[in-house]
Amino acid sequence: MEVNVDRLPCGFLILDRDGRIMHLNQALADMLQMQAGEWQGMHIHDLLTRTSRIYYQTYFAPMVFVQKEVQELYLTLEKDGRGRVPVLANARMEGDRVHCTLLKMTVREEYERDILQAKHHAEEILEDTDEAYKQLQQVMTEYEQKRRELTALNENLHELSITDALTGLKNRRFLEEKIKQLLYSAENDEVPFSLILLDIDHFKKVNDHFGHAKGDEVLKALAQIFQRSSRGEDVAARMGGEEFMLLLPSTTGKEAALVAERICRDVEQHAWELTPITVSAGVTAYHVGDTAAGILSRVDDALYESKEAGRNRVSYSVL
Amino acid sequence: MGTRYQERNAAQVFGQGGSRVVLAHGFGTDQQVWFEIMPELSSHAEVMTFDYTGAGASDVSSYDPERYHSIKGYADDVLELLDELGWSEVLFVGHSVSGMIAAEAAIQRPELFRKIIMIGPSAHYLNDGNYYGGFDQHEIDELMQMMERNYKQWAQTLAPIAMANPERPELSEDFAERLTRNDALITRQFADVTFKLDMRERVKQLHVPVVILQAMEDIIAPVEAGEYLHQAIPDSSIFYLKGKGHNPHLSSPAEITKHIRHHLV
Repeated sequence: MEVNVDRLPCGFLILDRDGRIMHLNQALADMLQMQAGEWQGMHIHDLLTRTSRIYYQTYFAPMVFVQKEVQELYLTLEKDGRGRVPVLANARMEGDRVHCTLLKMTVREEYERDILQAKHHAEEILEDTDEAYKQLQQVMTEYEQKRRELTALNENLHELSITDALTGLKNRRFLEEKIKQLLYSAENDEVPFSLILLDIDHFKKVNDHFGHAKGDEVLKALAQIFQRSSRGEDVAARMGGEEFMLLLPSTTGKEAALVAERICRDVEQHAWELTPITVSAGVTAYHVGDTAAGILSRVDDALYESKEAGRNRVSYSVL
Repeated sequence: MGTRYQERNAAQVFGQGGSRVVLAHGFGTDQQVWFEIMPELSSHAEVMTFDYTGAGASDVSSYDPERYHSIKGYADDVLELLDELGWSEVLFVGHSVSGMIAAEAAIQRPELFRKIIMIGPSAHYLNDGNYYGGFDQHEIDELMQMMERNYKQWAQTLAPIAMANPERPELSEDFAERLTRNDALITRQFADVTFKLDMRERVKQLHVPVVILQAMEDIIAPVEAGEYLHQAIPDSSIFYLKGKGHNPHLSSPAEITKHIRHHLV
């Protein structure tokens, strides 16, 4: 049986190597509303949109020459601006000729357009998501940065709130907290602790004679001496004015008294620029049943005793 | 001497003796387009073919969108290959955008090129005032859309070739799938680079002899584009081919072979 290509239910073309049309079947002529034989002398370009021509030249032709066949290539036909027809092209090299079937896909085109639109939409969403994610990351980084700054600031504030600005020693607030802690561990774990309260002798005179700036210098120098005398666990604090306190954890009253004696000596022997400086000290140790107020009042009494006894000395107060 | 770049660009050297010839494919294709020309040419010269990074059987993992966002990246491919092979004074045959890639490479390193044959070249594909490049922007946009409709079909024909490459055992099916996906992006970027290209001023600095082979009915690179290059490039000549279309090396290989042979030493 002889097959009549004109009656095939799809477009059929034969091209030469340069793309000139050697044959064009009736189905294709109908698709493009061409007269019989109108294709004579035409080039494949004459049946393609400009874009499809570019595509034909960059993809279709190289592929059919190299691979000898092309499958399912999407092209758009157009004849003198008449009826744009989307087609799927299959082609095969037969000797020096290219045989080419063109399957009309006007309906399928609609579906594909929808799919492409959905794809583009999905891509846009993906891009937006990526962008949002990037922004979120940025916000997170900023937040983390702020949080670190805030933490540092808080630490700084906390440090300031427990530090005596002039001497750099701890302040009364910190010391009172610390006494509470030591009382707790003394009651529960029977760990002893002691206090030394120090007061500069005749400090008012220093201020009056040399001015407050010089007085401050003395306070700072004393703070350094106290700091040097304190061990790792000890806390040296300025209670206010010319009054200082040393808190000595795990230390008996006797040991504390020795520390106080040494401090008094160190202060006395320090090479003071303006005028000799001495300190008086009171010492006490934890006793069972002590309260913070009780222990502070006792060490105050001890200091008072040193002042009364002529200053520059240490008194020890027991219950 | 290493082979790193030859492997990256799946370079192959055929024949020996006489002139050294480089055949460089154009946009959307790979080195297989030279199969018709190779047998005769390689019996008269030492011929190298290769795939630009991202095309054909090249190592797709070497593709860097930063590097290949202009034709300079592709020109670097050429220079790296020539340096690695120790080739200089080559006869460079570039199809389509490869003509401009060669121009860029030869402006940078003229000593590597004895002569450049450009098949269907264009310095700028878009119409611009009095300049006729052949295309309007909306046509390029449409082309991009059409590529999107077709890239899978196109990539599938390449994957099996890449898979058959025994030097690259990593080309499992997974890899082929990744390859297909990458190809779409790479092709899109290559198209972007090609159609945004504007070498109209730059080519005036090219001082290597150039032969332009201009097909009469080339819709991609119209006669006007070839003639523009002829007047812009100081040492250039233009020949009008009998073969038609943008792929005369495929449709009329004998005529192209004859031209290339004419320029062998």
